[in-house]
Amino acid sequence: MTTYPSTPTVTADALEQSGLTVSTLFDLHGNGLYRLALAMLHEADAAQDVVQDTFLRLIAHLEGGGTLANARGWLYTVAAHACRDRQRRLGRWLPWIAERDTRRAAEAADFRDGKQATLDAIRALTPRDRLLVALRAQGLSYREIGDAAGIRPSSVGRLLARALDRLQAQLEQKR
Amino acid sequence: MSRCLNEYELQAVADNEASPEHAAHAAHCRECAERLAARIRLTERATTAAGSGELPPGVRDAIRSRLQGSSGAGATTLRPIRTVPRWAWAAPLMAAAAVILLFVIVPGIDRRTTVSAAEILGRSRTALAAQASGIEVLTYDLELAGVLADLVPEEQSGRFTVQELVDHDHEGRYRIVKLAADGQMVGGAADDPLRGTRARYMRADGRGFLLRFEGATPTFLSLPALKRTALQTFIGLMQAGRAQTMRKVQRDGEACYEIDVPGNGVTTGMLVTLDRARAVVTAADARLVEFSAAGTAADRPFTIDFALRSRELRLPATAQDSDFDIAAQPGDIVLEGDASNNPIWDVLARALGAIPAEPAKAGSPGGNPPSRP
Repeated sequence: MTTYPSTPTVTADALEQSGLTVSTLFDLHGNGLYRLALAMLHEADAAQDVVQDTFLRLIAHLEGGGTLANARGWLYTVAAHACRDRQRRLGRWLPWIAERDTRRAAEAADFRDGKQATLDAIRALTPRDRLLVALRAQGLSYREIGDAAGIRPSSVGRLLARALDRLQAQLEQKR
Repeated sequence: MSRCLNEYELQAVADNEASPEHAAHAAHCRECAERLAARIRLTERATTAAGSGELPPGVRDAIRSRLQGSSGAGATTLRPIRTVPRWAWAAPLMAAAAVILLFVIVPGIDRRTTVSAAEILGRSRTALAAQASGIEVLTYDLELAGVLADLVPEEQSGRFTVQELVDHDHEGRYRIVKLAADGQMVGGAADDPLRGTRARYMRADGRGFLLRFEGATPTFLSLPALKRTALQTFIGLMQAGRAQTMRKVQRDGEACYEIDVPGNGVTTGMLVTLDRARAVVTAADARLVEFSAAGTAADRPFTIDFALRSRELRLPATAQDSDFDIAAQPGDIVLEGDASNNPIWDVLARALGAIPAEPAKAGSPGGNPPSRP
């Protein structure tokens, strides 16, 4: 079975009992949210803004008396919506521009056929396919993915399988 | 179980989301195990690519310190966001509204009869925008002619009966179908955000085409909302018109007001102008029961006639899933696909995807030019 870089799910009770703070949640999920936003937006700057906005919204949510049954699901849902809002405001889905991808500089030159090629292929997917793949890559359950992507949990497996099939087609096309 | 798993079921096994039966089958079926291994490799590849990367340490520290000293209100971002103002497109509309206000409404404001008719029209607009609850079933006659009819296939123009079902308790859940005089469905749309389904039906060149999409989310503006907005706009134009006349009439035994705006009652330089318009609204609750208008859109003439035949309110519990779906008719071509946030594009992309790919022939329109000797 596939293993994912999962992070523990934090409930409201656990949050109270363990004295977890927003900073703790940031430590747990900040990088995952950043990876999601980076996959969606292609720009490190925008992805960092999404992470910060997401946690500021969390603060406002908690200060407003909001409940937090599933902190991870809540954070990824808000981040996914923030990415979508940002793309809508821009009026289009940003093309991936190699010069703006700060991650590439850190990759080895011979990595092109492996991780980087896969990343390129993911970024060539439709926004929803990209979102599904990116959410799954962060270790979210189907239910959490469904909430974040705005689709029924029972449809997630089918849509994710199709997204991965299209990813495979992209990879073969570029080979 | 003996049946081999499909790709979706295998994906669920790969993601640890499958039922025990499916997982057990994948463990014992050699063919499924091989396909599962390939799917796991693909999933892991995607996970490795999209599941790595970390916030730069400096950014991480900056965000953490900001979170520690911040409340949610008045949040700022790390850097200015380059965006187009969300309501930038509203500026021309506001300018048009200002023109109407200055040159049409204000000059007519002291005309006693005009104000009275305008009040009725205003109530009608308010009623159109009012929040409702339950399942509303409308049947009405609709006829479009002129430029509005020219935009659609022959089967879609003329006079039709429209059946509209709207779930006011769930935004974007509706079905609207257009029936020809012989009862045949010629067009339709159905969205059900609860089930994530979206259906579009169209009859063209003697054939019916049904497109079904799954995984749909509520659209920004549903067809009933679009119709309501169009009627509000028309009523608004009438309200801004001059020399309105009003009289009391009866419709199905119910007291109504009939309001007419005569020729050239509305003269503006807008994209859409009304040369004449007539609306009938109920006296009791200002419901629009009839509306007809003639005017121009982009300087091309059009007419529209709307007449409500029946209206029924049902309890939410009576709604069935099939109420918000469209069934295929015998002989229809049915295409299925995944929904995105753009219903129009989905229909276009899915329809184009059904065309068998054929390379363009040399010399044919759009193809490569024939080579010279």
